[in-house]
Amino acid sequence: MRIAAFIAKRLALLIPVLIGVSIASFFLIRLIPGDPVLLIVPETATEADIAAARERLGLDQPVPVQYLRYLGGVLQGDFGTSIATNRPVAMDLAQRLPVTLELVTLAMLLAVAASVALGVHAARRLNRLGDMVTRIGAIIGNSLPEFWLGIMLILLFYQGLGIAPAPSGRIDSALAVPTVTGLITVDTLLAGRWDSFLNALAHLALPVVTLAVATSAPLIRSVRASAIEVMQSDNYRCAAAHGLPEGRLVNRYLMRQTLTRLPALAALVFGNLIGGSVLIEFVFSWQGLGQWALRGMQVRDYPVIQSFVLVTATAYVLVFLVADIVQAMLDPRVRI
Amino acid sequence: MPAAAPNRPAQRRSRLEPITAIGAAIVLAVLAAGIAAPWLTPWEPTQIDPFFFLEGPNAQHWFGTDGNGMDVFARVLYAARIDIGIALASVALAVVLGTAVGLPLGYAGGWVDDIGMRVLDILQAFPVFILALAIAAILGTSLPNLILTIGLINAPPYARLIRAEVVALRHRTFIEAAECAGNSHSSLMLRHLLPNALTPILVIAPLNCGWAILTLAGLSFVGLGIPVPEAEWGAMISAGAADVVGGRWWTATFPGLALFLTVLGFNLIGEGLQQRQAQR
Repeated sequence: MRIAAFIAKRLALLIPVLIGVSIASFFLIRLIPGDPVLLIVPETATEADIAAARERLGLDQPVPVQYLRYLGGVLQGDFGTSIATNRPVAMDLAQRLPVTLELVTLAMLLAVAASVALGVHAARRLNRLGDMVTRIGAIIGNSLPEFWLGIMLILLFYQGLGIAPAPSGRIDSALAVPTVTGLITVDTLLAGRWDSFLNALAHLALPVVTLAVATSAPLIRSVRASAIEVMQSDNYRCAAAHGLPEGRLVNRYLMRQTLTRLPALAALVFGNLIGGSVLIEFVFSWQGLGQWALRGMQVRDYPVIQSFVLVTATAYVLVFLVADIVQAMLDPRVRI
Repeated sequence: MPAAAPNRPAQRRSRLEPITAIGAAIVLAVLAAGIAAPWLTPWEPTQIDPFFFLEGPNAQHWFGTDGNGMDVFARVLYAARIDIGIALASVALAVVLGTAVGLPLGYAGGWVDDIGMRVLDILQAFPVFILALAIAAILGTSLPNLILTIGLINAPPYARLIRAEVVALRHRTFIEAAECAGNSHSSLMLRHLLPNALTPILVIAPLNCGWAILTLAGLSFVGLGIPVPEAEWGAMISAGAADVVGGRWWTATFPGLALFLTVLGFNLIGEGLQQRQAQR
């Protein structure tokens, strides 16, 4: 029951943040000095065209009215129309969001699994070789530009060894399957095409590994620090002194307490992953949200930029919410 | 020598952590190479050698040439100026902006502080690099705009740090004594609180420089930063990305190594400073 109250409280706190996020993304495109209409209409537009565009876009209304209209639209799933392609932004979002989420989620799972294994391993061999290698590895991983790492992996595994597929999208076109969910791994399985599924996994391997390597350094450090703290606690030392079997000691005493702090940090890493995914999609010609937003940014397609910022920030805020709830479940002290 | 013994702990405290020294050596070496570029290579960063397009490393062009026939070694060296320069300028801007916001918030307290902190919460609800992309796309990519973009997105953590320090110091005896002595608000903030609140900032600033360089290179990589043919590591990697698939590895590899090494240097400095602070 107390966990339900905790979730309700967190949900209530979410609303002002989401309103703030929508205000910020609304005003973001008004950072530009001058009249936004002039950036939207073609250069050959006459006075009358400009006035018509202003009225059509509602820009002749006072700013608060404009914001409320924008918010009302967003809440009904209307994100405006792309200036460059004239397509409804919501349609593109629905098509591309799953593509990026699949990439980011797999990278996140890999990063968390690897970080827990490495961080705990390092803590149990404190100041010995395994620990040193992990710590140096974390500093190096933290310093690697992810887009360059991706290119180097392509150079090695595609160009050099020839074992990775070409960095040109999610699947070989000959093996493509109809889109149902937008998640390529799920769609290939739904189509019952084992060969397509394996091909999709092969295409996913390098981008997922690149993203995971570039973002797991803070996770590794945090897991290591928490594990060291747990191992020095009276609780753990007492259990160890009692001669509990190794497996029980690690699983029941070390892991559980170490992992209580992980969700909040994993949520932070999600923000880095979603930012990094823009670069990685560019490197691997991944037709996800990042590539779409990037094209919008290069031609200053304001509705696209605005929606991209709003959607990613909302996703980030929701991931934080989930992390908070998971943490409260793992660690009862948080609920107070 | 027995006479030297009492001095030892003091000496140890004033010495740098070894990894800070390694990091500083890396950053200074890259910076020196950038400044000394005209003496280290006969090629200009945007000079075209008409006889060598996309040639591999050789005696004349140590790191080879790119698709425009420009010398990759010269470009890698000259790029250090712009990458480190923009990083330092934007971090300095972030510190100033963060201080300008965080200091008064922590000093004022009450509802001003509450509102300010909620605004910071909202700004930090955006994934940092995405905010950088959007602001760079909207402001346009001139040099001052890039510094402004990277400075803006890095400012909120500084505002938080400064505010937290100021809140902790605000009711310490020496501050209240200064207040009783009739110091004005601005004098209290700038002369008494600020100098005492700066330490945590100095610790995270080097890490932030590394992050700023990665952000700049990332923006340039996708065409929203320094435009070609200007020598900048991210833009060079971007131009070289297509060459890699043809097996021409040098155009993307060398600028990436320089970028990695520089960021590593800043991160090592930051790591050392953090360890040192943790020991206290």
